[in-house]
Amino acid sequence: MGLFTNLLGYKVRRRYDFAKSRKDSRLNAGYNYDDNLAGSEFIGRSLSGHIQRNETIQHFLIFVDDILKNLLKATRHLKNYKNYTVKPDDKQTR
Amino acid sequence: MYENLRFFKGLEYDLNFEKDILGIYQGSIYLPEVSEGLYETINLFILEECVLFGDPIVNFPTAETSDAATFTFKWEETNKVDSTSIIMYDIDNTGNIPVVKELKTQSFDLFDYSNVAAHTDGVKYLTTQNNTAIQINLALNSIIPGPHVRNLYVYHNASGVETLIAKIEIYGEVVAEDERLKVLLSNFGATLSEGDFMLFKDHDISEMSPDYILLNRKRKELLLELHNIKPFVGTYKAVLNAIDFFGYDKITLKEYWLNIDSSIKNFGKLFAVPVPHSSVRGEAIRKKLVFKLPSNTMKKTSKFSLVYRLNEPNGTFDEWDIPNVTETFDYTPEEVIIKLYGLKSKLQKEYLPLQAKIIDITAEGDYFDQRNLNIWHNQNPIGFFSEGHDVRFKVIPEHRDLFIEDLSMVLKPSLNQNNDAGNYNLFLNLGIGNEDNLTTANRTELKTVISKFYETYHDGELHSYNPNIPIGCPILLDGTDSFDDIWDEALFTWEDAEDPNGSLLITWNDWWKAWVYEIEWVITSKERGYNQTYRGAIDDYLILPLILPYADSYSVEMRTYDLFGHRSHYRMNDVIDIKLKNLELYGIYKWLENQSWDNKKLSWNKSGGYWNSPQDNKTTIEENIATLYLTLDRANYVHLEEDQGVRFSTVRRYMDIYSPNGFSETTGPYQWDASTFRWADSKNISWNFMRVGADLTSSFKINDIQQGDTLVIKHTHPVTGKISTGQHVISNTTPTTVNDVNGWTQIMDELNTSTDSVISKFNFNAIFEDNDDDNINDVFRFILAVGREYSSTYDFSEVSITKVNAASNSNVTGETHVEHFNPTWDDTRVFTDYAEVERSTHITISTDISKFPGSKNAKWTITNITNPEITDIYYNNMWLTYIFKEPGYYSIQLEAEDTYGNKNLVKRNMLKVK
Repeated sequence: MGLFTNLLGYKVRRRYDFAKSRKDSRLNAGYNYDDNLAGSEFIGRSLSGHIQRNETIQHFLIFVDDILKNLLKATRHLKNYKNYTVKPDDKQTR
Repeated sequence: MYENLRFFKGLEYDLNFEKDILGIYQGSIYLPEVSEGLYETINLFILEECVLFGDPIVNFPTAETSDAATFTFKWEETNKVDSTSIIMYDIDNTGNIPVVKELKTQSFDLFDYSNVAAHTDGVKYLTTQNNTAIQINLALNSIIPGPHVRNLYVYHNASGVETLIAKIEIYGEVVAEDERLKVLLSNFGATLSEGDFMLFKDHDISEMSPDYILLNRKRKELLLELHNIKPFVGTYKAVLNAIDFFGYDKITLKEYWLNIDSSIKNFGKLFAVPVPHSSVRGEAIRKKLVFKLPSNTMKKTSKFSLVYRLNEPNGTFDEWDIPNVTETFDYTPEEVIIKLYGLKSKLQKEYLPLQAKIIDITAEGDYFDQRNLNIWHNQNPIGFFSEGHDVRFKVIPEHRDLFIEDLSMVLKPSLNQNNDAGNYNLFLNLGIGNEDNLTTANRTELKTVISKFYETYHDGELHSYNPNIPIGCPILLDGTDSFDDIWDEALFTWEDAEDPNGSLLITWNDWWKAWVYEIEWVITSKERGYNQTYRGAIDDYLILPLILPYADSYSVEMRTYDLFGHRSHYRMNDVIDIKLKNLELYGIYKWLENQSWDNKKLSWNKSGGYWNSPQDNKTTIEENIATLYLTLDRANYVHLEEDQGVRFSTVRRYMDIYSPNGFSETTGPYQWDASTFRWADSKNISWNFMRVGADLTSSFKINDIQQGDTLVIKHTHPVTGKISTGQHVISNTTPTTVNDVNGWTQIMDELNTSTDSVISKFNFNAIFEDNDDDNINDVFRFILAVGREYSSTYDFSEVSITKVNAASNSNVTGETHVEHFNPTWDDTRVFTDYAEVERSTHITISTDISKFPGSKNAKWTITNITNPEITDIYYNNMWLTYIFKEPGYYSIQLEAEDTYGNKNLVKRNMLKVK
């Protein structure tokens, strides 16, 4: 059993959502940390490279990075929550 | 290997898997989104493209070697997220009920290689075909929302070697409840709980868990629609919007209205009327309502009905032009129970006013049947068809009173009564109801006779007196009015009356008779029982002569019989009213005026009476009150004393061989012993008046006469006084004895045949006596010579027999001269209205001037009006002769009947006895 087997399930994207927003060209959508930054890059930029030499730390930072991004996405989540016209996990909300 | 495998997603489409560089088929299968807790399934079919007899086919995957080969399906674990919520399953039929069973792996034996004729360039050429497929059932069921991925690997196993053939990624997404919507709805005060999922029309009732995809959509819809429902709760609008919200766009909401109009038959009945804007069909129904709502005759009941459709017309028509309908499978019976009853309770609970109830759920369907309205255009000729005829008739003579007539009087203007060859006697003695026995010619003649009788009705007096003579009322029944059609009224032209050959079908006779061939007359009297029916040919009976016997009221019915079998009739009640002619009375009595010539009013030439008692009789001969030949000649009505009594009797002569003049007379009504009057009462009565009897003719007795003797009679002319002498010499042999009856008869006959002008003034009657009462004359008594008339012209002044010799015993005795006792112009008074007479005046009352024909059975009643103690006096004879002794006013009543028993009566207060 691999180290990440069934561990990254929360990161799986809904494929059918792509089909629904494939042609969307929307402004004011906010910065897409998920797609524009590699895993652990967000926290990695703020963290000493020395620390990141440890492989275990690197693996751990992947999950910390996701936590930080989720904190950033908390406002979007709250906005979506009160707006029933969009999906709860709408990515376009800033 | 296995170059030509084909992968299909169920029956939907080819998955178009392709081999990678390693020769392994790769591809993904995407499952539709599914709500958490629900199953989503697909079928994966695997087939192989082969060639059978030169044609490409798809076949069960076929082994590529003669070794037994299988395809094995396994889940492959990857380092990514492998969802165990995606499974393979199969139906396990081993138990009593089929059970879905999850399979970890599956293996399928391939189609045997022996069926392969050739295997060239990966293409298998088969000899037989197996057109089934390898079927893999895949399902996704999870309570974890989000994407689910699992990899299915297909291995080929043959001869213990396992080779990977295909990698198939199965992808599906599970949708969870959007809790935001639930909270938002709660915030607005609306609820759409998970338990309501069954109410939605789109929901599959076979699902046992909520379909959150549907529920999320509906909650969002409700959020958008809530402003149309929430503020209007309790109204039609809220209910209708709620129904629409749950997806029931074809359901019609109907409201029950109660008919409260007690004047019509539907009183108290409920009418289900679609509420406004309930549905398209409901609006169509509302527009056709004969009554408008709200109304004062329909009352709201707050009861509703949910109505769904069983079918809908689909716009096509069958061969009978009947609209086709398509069953609408909106609801199975289970759905009706689960969904509609759920909807009903939901609506009642949240959307209807508290008192309103949905009391039923109804299914409606349109079912068409053909009702033909066939219209024919028949060109019928317009014409009149009337059965029977308008029967009319009249009775001739019209507009006059009808009387029973003396038939001889009826016939005399036309027929000679002495002509036996004529029909006088036939008509006279026709009798009652025998008109049918007459011939057509007789009837025609009788019509003429009757017509002429009424034309000449006033030409004669029509006096009739003889009893038991033929009588009757002659009339004509004329039905001509029934056939008064004229050509101008005809509804056809002259040409129509011809047949195709030009023959005239309708002649004048056919036309006016209107196909009537017989006529029937029914004559019924009201009281006398006359009931006669006469039926015969129309020509003969159209005008029917009748002689009706009774004075009565007659109803007449005329019936016509035509060639179509119709009998038409018309009855006129009491159309004939026949009366009796009045009985007329008059009286005569002898009255001696006590006058002298000096007091006379009339001149010498006009006076009557006698020298010593001149009379002033102002009644002229022309007035003809009394009948000279009947009443004034008492010889016509000798009244026997034995019949009615002395006071009614008249003097009657009877033969008396012991009398000097050969006869004697009865006393008559005046008898001294019965006289009660006073001497003073008789001052106007002469001695001669006392002899109430007929005139006395001249007579004498020839007691004996011989052959050779000459009978000499001298006659003095009553006016000139000239004396003529008649003589006759007896030439017959002298009878031997008085018993020579034959000899004396010859003598009598000789005298009667004398042509001498004086001798022939007398009748000679030989008088014999029957001594032994054997009705054979035995003894000759005398010959009685009697003047032939009651007149001085037939009197003698002297009579004698000149004897042929002295031995002759001839002698004449008993000379009696003419004496007049009948009422005469000189001594008689006639009254018709009223008379005042002295007591003991003998009065004769007669009715012989009446025009009441056939009068008989007279019954006289004399009533003293002023003295009721004097009993009524009855008398039966046509002439009443009576001595009125008692003073007072008298009424005279005469009741008589005619030949047929028609009773007539007259009563007159016509006499005062002083």
